[in-house]
Amino acid sequence: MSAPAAAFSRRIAEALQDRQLRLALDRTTSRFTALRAAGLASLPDADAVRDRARAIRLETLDHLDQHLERFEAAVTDAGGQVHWAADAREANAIVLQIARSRGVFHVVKSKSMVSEEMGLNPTLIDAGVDVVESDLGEYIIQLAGETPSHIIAPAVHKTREQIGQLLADKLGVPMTDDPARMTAIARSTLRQVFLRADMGLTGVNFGVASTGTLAIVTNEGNASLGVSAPRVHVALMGIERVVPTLDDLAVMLQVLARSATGQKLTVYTDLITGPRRTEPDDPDGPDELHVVLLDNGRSRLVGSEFGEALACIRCGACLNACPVYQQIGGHAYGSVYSGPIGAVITPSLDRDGPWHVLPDASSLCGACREVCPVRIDLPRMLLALRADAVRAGKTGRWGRLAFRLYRVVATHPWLFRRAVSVARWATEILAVAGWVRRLPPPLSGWTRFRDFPVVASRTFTERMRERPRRPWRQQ
Amino acid sequence: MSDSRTAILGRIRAGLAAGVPLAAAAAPSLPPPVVVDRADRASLADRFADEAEQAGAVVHRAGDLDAAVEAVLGVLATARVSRLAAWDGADLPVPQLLDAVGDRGIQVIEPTVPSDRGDLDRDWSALAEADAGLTGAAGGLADTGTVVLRSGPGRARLVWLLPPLHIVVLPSPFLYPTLSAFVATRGDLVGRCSHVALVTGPSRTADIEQMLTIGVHGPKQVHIVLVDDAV
Amino acid sequence: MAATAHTVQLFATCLVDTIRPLAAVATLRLLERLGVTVEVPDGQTCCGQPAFNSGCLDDARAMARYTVDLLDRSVAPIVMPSGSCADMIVHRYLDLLADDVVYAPKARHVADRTYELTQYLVDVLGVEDVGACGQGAVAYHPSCHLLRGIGVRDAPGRLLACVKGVRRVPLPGDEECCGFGGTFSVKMDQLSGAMLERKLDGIISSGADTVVACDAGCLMQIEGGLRRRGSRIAVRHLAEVLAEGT
Repeated sequence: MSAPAAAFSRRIAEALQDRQLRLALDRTTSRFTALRAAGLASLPDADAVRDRARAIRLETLDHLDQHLERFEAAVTDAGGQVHWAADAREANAIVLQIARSRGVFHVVKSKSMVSEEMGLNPTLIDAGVDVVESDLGEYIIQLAGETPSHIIAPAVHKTREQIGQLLADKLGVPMTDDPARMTAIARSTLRQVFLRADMGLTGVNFGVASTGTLAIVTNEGNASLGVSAPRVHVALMGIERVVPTLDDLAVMLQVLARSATGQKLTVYTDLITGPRRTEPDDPDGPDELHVVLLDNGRSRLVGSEFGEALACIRCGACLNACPVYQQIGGHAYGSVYSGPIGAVITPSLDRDGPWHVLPDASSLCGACREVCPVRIDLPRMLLALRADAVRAGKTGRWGRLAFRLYRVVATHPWLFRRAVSVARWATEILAVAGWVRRLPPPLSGWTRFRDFPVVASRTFTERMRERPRRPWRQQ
Repeated sequence: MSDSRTAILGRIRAGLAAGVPLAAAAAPSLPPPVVVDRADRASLADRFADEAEQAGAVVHRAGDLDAAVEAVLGVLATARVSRLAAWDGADLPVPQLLDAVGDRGIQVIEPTVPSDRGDLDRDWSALAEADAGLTGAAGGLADTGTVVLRSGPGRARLVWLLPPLHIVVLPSPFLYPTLSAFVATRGDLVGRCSHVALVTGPSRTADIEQMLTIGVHGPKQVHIVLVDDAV
Repeated sequence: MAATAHTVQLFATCLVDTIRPLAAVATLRLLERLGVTVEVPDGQTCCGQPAFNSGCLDDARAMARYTVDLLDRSVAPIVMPSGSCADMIVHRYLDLLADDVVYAPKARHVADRTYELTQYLVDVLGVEDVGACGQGAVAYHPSCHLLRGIGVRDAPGRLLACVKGVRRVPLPGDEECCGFGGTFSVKMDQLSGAMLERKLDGIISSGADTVVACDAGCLMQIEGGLRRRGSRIAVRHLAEVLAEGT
């Protein structure tokens, strides 16, 4: 087994042995899948809306350069500034430069998976800029020194006792396991952070090209506060998150929250166009708005067989539906993005990394494609990634040899029949009371968890050959 | 940085030129947004109230401007509000509202006014100490129970974000069936205002063991006074 | 109710052929009883899905060409007691052989007339009551490629509902993957085992004495797990149930 495969296997084993994690995952994913089903059931013409949402995303990607240029022009017209970052390193440098030149020492942040991709928090903190996560789940894992384990529910792997203890240890408050009390503690602590912050840092759910509007959705209101109180707003946006018009945005918003949590809309949708207006002056809002557009491998996917993966709107539905994610959670993947979408975009965006093993963690059941609001064909891309790994020589030599051999056998029926006889002989020898309890490597993985059957004493082919039926008719 | 811009756009264009388009056919269209006439307005108001309550807001139906004032004063009294942050009187659909509030001995807090051109002192402590925030709304979305709040002079965002109780006065002629309908008619607001917020119920989270808690960073209570005969 | 003037080719599929041949025998008997003329092409081996799923496309292509040749010797529609093999032939062969000037049209010709068994019975023959009878409480596990790949959702249940004496019981988590996934079951054995445990819990809690599916891979996975647990629940291919009692 290669080193990445062995490491992945270890992480899977750890996750499977973590009973509390499995209980949490079961509770969360089954709740989300039920909520999603109810949310879509309440949407009239849900199929038509999903078709339209898919069409909007695909059309956008087919003209991505034009939409990005329009978006940039519209943001600039509204008084904002657009920065283009080829990779994470450059994006971090841009944010740091903005912070330094504006005398920013305190940043309040709302959830952004792009910032995880960038590794932004450590960069800012190392440079003496304090960053506090304001989304409750992100705040919890920041206190714990961990990374998010789910796209929309970052602390899904933690129990309330663990969270209560964490707050007690880090904030010096009395330990409680009551979620309402813990939330109140977080609210009052983070309130000070909002009011004192120099900069609000957010992600962007969708950027509207025609108006230069940033759409940010939350349930807590932390993004709304983060873009209203501090004097600088920096928004981090993947280049693929643009939509052409406000009408298109309205369609996307119809499916986003429903697919994620079953809500018709999240509590807050912030539609931000430029910094606060002056003359006459808005009484609050940032003096400056900066949008950092991050590429980090996305542009290379455009036009490729993986381009469809850029249609993702990060709702998390595929994670909740995936029988593999349900068992192991996000951390086992070892990557920023987990679940089915993570297993596709991680190796696609980072071809040289150890990620070619992620697409193997799928039985190709298709549940992800079924729940995706924009109907991304994830199984197709998982298969394509497996083929890429074989072509690049990243998979085991013995596996490829075995399939070479199988192909020879399967294209020569007399060989196939011989091979079946050998397999029958082998399974009969190994069997106890009609079932094989231990298969030798490389098949031993099967019998770790279940018995293996004996090859039939008379296969169907053998039966058909024993008793010739009517002769073959040439057409 | 403009090097990166050129490189990124270049890579995108190269990919598009070399690849096959993703969208096979023209985008399937949805039915156009519904235009509501007066006869439907009553059912629109009922739908809005229903959805808003499902989202956790409290909806008060007021038949006229006086009833609206009574409703607001009632909420303030029940919540024992002594300091109220509010939008400018001109931005509240009920003109006599702030006077009536003042008459009850409730202190009305003015959001900070810019000290000189372009500079805010950004001291939000007065707003943060308010017991409630009072605003109008640019619209309401019936299919989700959402209020639309647009920023601007006299319409501070922090008035409705910081206090634990938010009271919205929404005239029913401002109701739209859906967000798509609102965008089709008033989408211009989004480009003009620095911030347009769609607010659906009070702030919430389920980040701790999937257990729902209300009132995280935004308000814990949202009261909507839906005025049936206003403006 | 007999059908008239139908001829089909029966493609047994490698797992059915070697591990569960009675499913193919049952399919043959069932179709003939319904008046269908069944040809069994000689030289059947494997549709190539295991190689395809493992990313060995050249090997998969070779097996696809072989199978296309095998099935294109006759113009009769092809019926198979396997949702995953049907999905491979109907949806994947065209992608695999898209650039092959000779085999692309042949593959299309084969794909256009390939059916999974229950799909053929209900959608083509228009039959739901095949005249079968049995006994006991039966749970049906829909295999993923049949459900989401081919899109067959209701046909197996409708066929099962007409089997006299058999009582269908609901299966908790029925649409969740059993964890077979072909080579996944060995390569990612921990995950496969965890998913299997969940499926087995559902089967056992259903109160069924028999669990039925339309895919031999799922049946191998489920039966192997039930035997390891020491369970006496029977595991059968739907074809076997439908061929019974007549």
